[in-house]
Amino acid sequence: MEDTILRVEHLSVDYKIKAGYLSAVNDVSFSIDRGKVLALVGESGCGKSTVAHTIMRLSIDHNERIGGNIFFEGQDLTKISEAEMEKVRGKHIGMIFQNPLDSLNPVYRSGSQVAEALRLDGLSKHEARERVIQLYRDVQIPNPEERIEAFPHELSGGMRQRVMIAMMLARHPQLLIADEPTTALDVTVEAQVLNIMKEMCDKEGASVLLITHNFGIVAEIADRIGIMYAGELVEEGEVHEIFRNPVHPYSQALLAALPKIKKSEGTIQTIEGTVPRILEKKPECRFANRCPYADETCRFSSPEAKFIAPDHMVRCHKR
Amino acid sequence: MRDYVIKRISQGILLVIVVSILVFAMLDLMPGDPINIMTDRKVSEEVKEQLRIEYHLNLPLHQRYVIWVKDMLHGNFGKSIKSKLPVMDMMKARLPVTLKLTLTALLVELVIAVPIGLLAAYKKDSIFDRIVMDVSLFFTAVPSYWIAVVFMLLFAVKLRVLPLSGFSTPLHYVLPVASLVVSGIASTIRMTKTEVLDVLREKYVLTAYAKGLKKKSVLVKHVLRNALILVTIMFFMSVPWVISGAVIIENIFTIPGMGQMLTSGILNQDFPIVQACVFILAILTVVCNLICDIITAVLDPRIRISLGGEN
Ligand SMILES: Nc1ncnc2c1ncn2[C@@H]1O[C@H](COP(=O)(O)OP(=O)(O)O)[C@@H](O)[C@H]1O
Ligand code: SF4
Ligand SMILES: [Mg+2]
Repeated sequence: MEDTILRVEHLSVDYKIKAGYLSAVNDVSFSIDRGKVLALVGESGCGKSTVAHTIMRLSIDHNERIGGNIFFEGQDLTKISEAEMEKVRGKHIGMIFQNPLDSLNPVYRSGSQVAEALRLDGLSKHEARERVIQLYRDVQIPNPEERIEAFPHELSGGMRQRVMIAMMLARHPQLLIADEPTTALDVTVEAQVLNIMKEMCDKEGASVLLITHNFGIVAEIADRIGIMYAGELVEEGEVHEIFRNPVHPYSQALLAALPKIKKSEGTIQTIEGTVPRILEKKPECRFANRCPYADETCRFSSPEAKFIAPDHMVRCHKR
Repeated sequence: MRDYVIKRISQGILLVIVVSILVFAMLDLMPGDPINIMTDRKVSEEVKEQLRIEYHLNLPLHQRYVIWVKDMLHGNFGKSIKSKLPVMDMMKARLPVTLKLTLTALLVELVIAVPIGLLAAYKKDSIFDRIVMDVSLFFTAVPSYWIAVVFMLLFAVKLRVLPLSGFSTPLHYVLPVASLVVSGIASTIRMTKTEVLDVLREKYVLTAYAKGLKKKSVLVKHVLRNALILVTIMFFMSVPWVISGAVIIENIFTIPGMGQMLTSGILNQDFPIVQACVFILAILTVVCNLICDIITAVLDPRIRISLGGEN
């Protein structure tokens, strides 16, 4: 019996831009087990959202070129038709976005937007309403009977994100993708919202792909952690293992910089330089220009993913 | 909401008053003496003086304005200098013709342009989008009178399938409406496309897909619904523009609407007519703006609620 719910294999995503193709994700592989939480971390621009959107096959600009495979419950999401993908979204995979104000349609009442999801499963108007009220109760929105009538801008950021959680778990998906679900929220609200999300997912038995800058969150709710740099997954493993024994120079820098990471920016103060935008794939380590251990090998050949323990992947020449 | 409507209406009334003063004053500054234009050279000075008094031209400007407004409030726009008929009666006969022409044109335009704009945005950079954009670029570049003349030559003169001019049957409206539509549709398509493209980039569209909605539902319920707010604004804002466009079309197709009345009024220096026409146009503009504000408030809860209360 396979216990893996999502298996991403050699995923690469290039965005077509004026100057050519931007390599946003390169050769990324990971998997998530049933009921488990995988956290993806990395500075802004590392390609985390791109991974998330690619799994859901969501696109704003329709300018991406995708390679590799994404197996979800046995079917390859990169191969199925759009009509089949419509049946996967919401029903089998839910997704929460970073900014809860933009994520809800300003012209509809919050409850009706949740009901809209439920109605896809054939619930009557009345049944959907009852269920939305129950869901609001589950995500601890006070006065659910009233709040379902509220428009998004009448709700606080934390409340809106609870609505999103309710909406995306309404149809009992097996996987929830949460792309920085609390980055836009106050620190105090952040913990509440995360706990609600985690509890709901535990109750549903849903797996989570959690994208975040916050290592505190990772420590608290994730089972595994994947660290991304410039479109590549540079280290992946069990959370405690990686926290105790980070192997990749970038992971080490990230963890060393821990208290100094600015939540809103997701940049790391102690490492010089910024995440490069890769326009041309070259045989090199993408971290070489910031890495203290870089040498000629690193500048002229790409490190391959290798396992230093059965469960601990790292991508570096020197490890 | 009620306070908002009252506030907008009072602003509108203020605007109409200001415009009426401007219209009145500006026409006074027009060169030439209307009495000289309406009378023969043989007419004696006494008779001319008589006429001046009849049209209140002997009084100072501000007194004439007060008289004009008072008369207007009693539904009296004065008499045409040329035809001697009451302007109000002429207006009653002609305004409906113009409104019928322009509103039909606007509706037809919207019904065609909005779906095309939506599709062009959704299929951005496809062959469909490129053809639509190229064709619409062409039509924004050609003036409406040119299109009108081409239509006339083609359908009325060459093919003889439609009447050349006049306004007696619905068939007579086909060519004028078509000319107006063709000349205005390009910009409406482009504007719809731009707005839909903006909405398509909104995060809530991704949310709509993420919860499992089909493409069509997303487009209709989330994209179009939000884009329609701007389209509505566009529609009401363009009514006065289309009416000005109708001035030319009415003249070409000899349709006795307000546009034709206005042009002949200007040519004849028939100032009561010009004043009445410009004034009606001003009121129409103000009313359209008002409707536009209220509808936007109804469609967009962010505005509706910031106005206090939902009703
Ligand atoms: N549609 C797009 N077209 C071109 N470039 C894009 C597009 N979306 C994202 N990018 C670029 O791809 C890179 C990765 O972005 P993203 O996946 O959003 O990173 P993250 O979520 O880790 O901050 C960034 O350099 C970003 O500017
Ligand atoms: S491969 Fe070289 S440059 Fe890249 S992380 Fe390892 S040591 Fe640093
Ligand atoms: Mg992101």
